[in-house]
Amino acid sequence: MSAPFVVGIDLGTTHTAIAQCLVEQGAVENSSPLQLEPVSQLSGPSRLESLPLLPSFLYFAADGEQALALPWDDSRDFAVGSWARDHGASTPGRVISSAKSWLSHSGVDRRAELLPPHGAPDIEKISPVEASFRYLDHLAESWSQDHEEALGDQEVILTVPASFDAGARDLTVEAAYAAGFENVFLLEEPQAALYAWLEASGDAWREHLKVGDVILVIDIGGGTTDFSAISVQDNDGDLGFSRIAVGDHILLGGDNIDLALAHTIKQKLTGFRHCVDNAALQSLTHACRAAKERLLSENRPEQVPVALAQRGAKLLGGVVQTDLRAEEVDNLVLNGFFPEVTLDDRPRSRARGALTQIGLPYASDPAISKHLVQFLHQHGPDGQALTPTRVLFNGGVLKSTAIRERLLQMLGGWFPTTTISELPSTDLDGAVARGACYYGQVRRGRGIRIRGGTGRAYYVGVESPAPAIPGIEPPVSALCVAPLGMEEGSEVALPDTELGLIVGEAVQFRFFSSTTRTEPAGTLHESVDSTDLVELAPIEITLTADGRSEGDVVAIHLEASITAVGTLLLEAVPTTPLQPDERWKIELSVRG
Amino acid sequence: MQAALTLGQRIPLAFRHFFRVLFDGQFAASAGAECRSLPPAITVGDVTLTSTPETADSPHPPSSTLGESTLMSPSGQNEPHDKSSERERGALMLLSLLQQDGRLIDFLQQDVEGHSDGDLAAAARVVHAGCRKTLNARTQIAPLLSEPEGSPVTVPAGYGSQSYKLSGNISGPAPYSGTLEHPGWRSSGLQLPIPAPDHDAEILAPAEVLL
Repeated sequence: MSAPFVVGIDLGTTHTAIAQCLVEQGAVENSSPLQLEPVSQLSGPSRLESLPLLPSFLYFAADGEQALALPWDDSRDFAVGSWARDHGASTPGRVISSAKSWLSHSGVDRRAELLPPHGAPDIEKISPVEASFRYLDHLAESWSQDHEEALGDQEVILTVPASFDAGARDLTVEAAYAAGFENVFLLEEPQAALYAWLEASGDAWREHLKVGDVILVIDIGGGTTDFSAISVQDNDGDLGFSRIAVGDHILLGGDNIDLALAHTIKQKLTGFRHCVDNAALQSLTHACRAAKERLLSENRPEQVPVALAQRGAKLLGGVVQTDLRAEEVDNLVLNGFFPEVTLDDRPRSRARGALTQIGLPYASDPAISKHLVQFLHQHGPDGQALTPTRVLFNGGVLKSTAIRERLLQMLGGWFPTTTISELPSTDLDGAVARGACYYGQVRRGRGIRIRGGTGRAYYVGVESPAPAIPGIEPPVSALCVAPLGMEEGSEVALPDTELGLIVGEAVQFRFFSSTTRTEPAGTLHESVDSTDLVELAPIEITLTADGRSEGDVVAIHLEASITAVGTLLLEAVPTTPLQPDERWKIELSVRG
Repeated sequence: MQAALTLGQRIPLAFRHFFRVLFDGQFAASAGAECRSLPPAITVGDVTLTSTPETADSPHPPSSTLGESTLMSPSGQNEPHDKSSERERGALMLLSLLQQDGRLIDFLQQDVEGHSDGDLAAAARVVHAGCRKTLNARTQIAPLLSEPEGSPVTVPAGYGSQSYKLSGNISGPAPYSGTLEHPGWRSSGLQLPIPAPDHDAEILAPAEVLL
């Protein structure tokens, strides 16, 4: 008996959304209309509210703070959601934000208690995995207020950025399992956006697309920017989809834009006394966001006043105001984040400071258009740029007509001989959750599935025997174990590539991935020093000796498979097994 | 937080209440009940929540002593939060939201006399933007009649006096013909947060303290 509900969850960097539909008697044709499920959360102290989105923020109670009780937990000492975000903005040491970006940050141990990074000393910090778990757990708790069936027992599609590597995917699934989700599947966010478009268009979608079209999905959320390309192919006479490229994870989004505007306005308000403190900057950011949205919409005015009230109870005489002018927004937002560039431009990389605090690897070039050029170049045929014919926008930033137009106009300029048109999208905030829910229906046989498999190829580092030389590490070559585009449920074995595996003592694995290399499994690269190979977090594990002596080098070959959930499974299979099914599982989310 | 009153303000107030207790039996009864049911002080963190001792002739507490912050409660009550009826709680919640997002209480509690139009305009922007956002998020408000102001309208027989306010020469049976002066407003209901059991509806805005 399959679960009654199909649920899509967009576990976003700044917002989490959940969509559901009820599948009557297990028949997907009889599904109830897909809808966003409101999430019960604190919207203020001792104030509960059902809101369409759950802001992905976690606030830790201060000593004696009693107002975080929930109907299902009256002694809760942390809050998730709207109040956590609002309250946390004026108490930065007690709030976790962007946990998802930390989840994909391979430079840190993502199971270690490191959030919030600059937390107050009395806070018991939690790991990025734990934070993700708490968001999902909150969804499950809120769900149980309105449904008899537990959320964990439903079929849940959880979205991840296309750029998430195998480790980050595993950790996401781990958080979901911890929250009791037994039946969980992963889906890439840009694909979810396309599914949402397909769902919203009904049968009319075929009129918008033809064989040969390449859909560029541009997803700019609060904290991250993600690009993907999906091609439209002929599938036995019908249209089919194949995801052909995914971009790298870019930590750059709407929050950067709002912050930049707030700083500009701050400088204009020189007479303002408390101009620099966090809370003032927060209300300034809010005020700027509203003004920006007005100035980036159609029929915009020349300028929009921005008024900022001081903290005290005196409002009259306590408000400073200035104007945000259309040209300022153009300069800062359009020219700063979406400058008109050519196909030869690339994002500028800044020389990194030698000493740095542990933090997120933010993008150093704010020009999103340059990142887009880089993406198109990395995935085009034979050194050419990839040429899209359709564009699907997703994410809150792209609600702005002016930004969408700027991007379309630039694409038109780069590819003058191609007609590039926009696929009209609606509900940019809830699309990913809706699309994920629709994909749950597709999994049960309704509609068209996007093919494409893994967005990355995976490589394992193999140390070569070499005479010891002081100061020189033994050379490491990269062996492709899972090629780009491996489909869910498929597996690759490398019986010809025999390797030595050390069991019974701690060993370190190095993994690399590439979003651009399209070579078959088994390909060996002499060197790992290549710009298109990105090293994953190193993995340190002790594989059980189990009948062999510790430190033994066992002759093995590797097998890679993509699980039904959507995660990568690597296994080492001994050439001469001691037991009939002897093999070692190598988990990519384990950290050294 | 309500500001403490000066001695000059307190004297007339004390006299007013003295006479009110003397001549208004109802008021005296409630004032007496409040005196008897004063709860002990509760400590939250380092701030002491005190329910102010109140007598009929001194409804407001003395100004707070230096170094220790005292939360004042105008009614002198600090007990269970079911003191407000369901209806009052909703209305107070809305006030509190309008203050939080649009500083409405701050605006109304201030005297507009002596402030320039520029100050008023600047404050009005804050209040307008915030309150509008709150209202739009919680209710949909639309005109009751769709005709433009100044156009002729017919008021049907059996019109509700809540829906139509008639002025001018009214005589004879409805329907009436007239000119629309104000189209009226209708709300689609109101969506409010659910207060937790410990929620005190009478607190419209917290005292803000920077550490």
